[in-house]
Amino acid sequence: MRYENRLPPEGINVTQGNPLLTALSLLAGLCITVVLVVLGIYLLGSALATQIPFSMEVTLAKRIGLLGEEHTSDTRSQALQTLANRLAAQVELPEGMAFSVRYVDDDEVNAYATLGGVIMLHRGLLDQLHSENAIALVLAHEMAHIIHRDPARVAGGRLLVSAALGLASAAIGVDLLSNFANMTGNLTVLSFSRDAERQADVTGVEMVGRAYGHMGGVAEVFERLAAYEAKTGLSLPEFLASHPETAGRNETLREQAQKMGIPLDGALTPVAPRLRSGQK
Amino acid sequence: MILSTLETLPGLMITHHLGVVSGSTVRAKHFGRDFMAGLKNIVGGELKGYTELLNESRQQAVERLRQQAESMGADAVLNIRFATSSIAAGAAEVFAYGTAVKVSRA
Amino acid sequence: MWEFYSFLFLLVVGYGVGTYLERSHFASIRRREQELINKAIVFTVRDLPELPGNPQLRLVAAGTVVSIDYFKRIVAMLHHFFGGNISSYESLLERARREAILRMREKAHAIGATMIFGVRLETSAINDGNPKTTTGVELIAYGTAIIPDHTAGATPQLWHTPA
Repeated sequence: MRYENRLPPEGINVTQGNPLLTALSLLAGLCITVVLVVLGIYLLGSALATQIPFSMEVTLAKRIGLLGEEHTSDTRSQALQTLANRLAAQVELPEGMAFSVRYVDDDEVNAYATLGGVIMLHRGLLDQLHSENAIALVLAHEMAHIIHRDPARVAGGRLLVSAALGLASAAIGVDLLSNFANMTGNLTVLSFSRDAERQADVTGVEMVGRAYGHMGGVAEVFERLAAYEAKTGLSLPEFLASHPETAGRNETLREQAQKMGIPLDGALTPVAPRLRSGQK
Repeated sequence: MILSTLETLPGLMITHHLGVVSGSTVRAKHFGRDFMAGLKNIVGGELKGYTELLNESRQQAVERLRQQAESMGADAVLNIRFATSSIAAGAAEVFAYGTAVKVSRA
Repeated sequence: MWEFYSFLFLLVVGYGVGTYLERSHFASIRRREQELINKAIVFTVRDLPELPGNPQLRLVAAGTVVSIDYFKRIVAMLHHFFGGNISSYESLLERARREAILRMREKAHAIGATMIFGVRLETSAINDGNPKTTTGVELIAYGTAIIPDHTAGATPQLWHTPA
């Protein structure tokens, strides 16, 4: 009987591989998985939200304070509402859809559509537009977003992702929700994808074309807003941030005009005094 | 390669003791299984995911043990013992060790 | 942002210094294993051979605690997400195990023992009270050391012959 100790070779009890490389590849895999899962949940939320009827969206908007009687009292809001109604008559609206236009008296150059058919138009933007046609385009663009249910989509997507993150946070004990909330901002300010913006352009331009019989003044809006952005060096919130390039938007304009058989230019309707703020 | 928890092998004579061999692995189950296990904590019952995990770990540990023994030129490993410990949440180390020997027909 | 930078810093330090320390520890382990070849040899069997004279039996036990560096912990979390072998912990345990066995053998050799029988190994995770955050791994090795009876004419060569 012989007793000895033989040494086994190295590396049997350790999985081979450079630790740094494995770490990086795992990290990459993790990021990709997370992004795909979040995207999937977002799309699901969007799709589900469009199934909710518009009337329920209006109720929700009332409940969170977007819709209310005190907003519609001033003359400017009413004038914009009349213009919006005229534009709305140019297209077929889904069941029960109605728009509420609100004028916001501050310097912010912005206009956006949100839940419940609410459109906000700020004085800052209004002062940049020199014809009723231009104002009509801005309104029509936002109305188009509502017709396509874009606010509902974004809200639905975000809500579902929040819910999923909340569930995941509870399961693994790490708070993911606060980080997500920081990144996406509050619910009333919704930004839409490039694709949604392009669709809104198409429908918006169509509405203006039908209302006025020509596309005059529309190209001016795109160029003026692009120039404003270039001059100030800011990226304008919401209205321009995710919008397609001006050249692309003009292309949309030309195509739509051709499709409808209306001229690109025409006599511009001046802005009614009621709409002017008196501040320049 | 004979693997045994016994000290001796009936009908065989041990000619050489070659020393201690061990096989160990640390494995984790993926995130989904962990989540399911968390839910199972509410209703109780066998955590199949973890049972599977430990089974795989045991198999791999024994495999590594066998590899070490073979590299030493052994014919059998005696006195095998297992030890499991939890190193991190959701990951378990399974560790098998024994003595590698050379045997011959008695 | 500061949190992210401190995280990155710890990660880099953990990886850099940790890998260096691990490598030098493994080198030390290999060197000592070479030195102790055929001295204080270990077996897990409890079946003792014929011992001439009156050999002495002593309990020898040794252990070590190795801590988990920051990089290993983060990589383990990533591994945990996907499943499979956690290579960072495996090298940690290998290191702890070999160190514990070496220490036990060194102790046995110091008291004049030539063989250790009935060796057992135990692993334990050390934490700061919260089992989710394991700070280190403890490995103990213990067994019965046999000190030969030289007066009975027993020489170590009788019991173990190098290959």
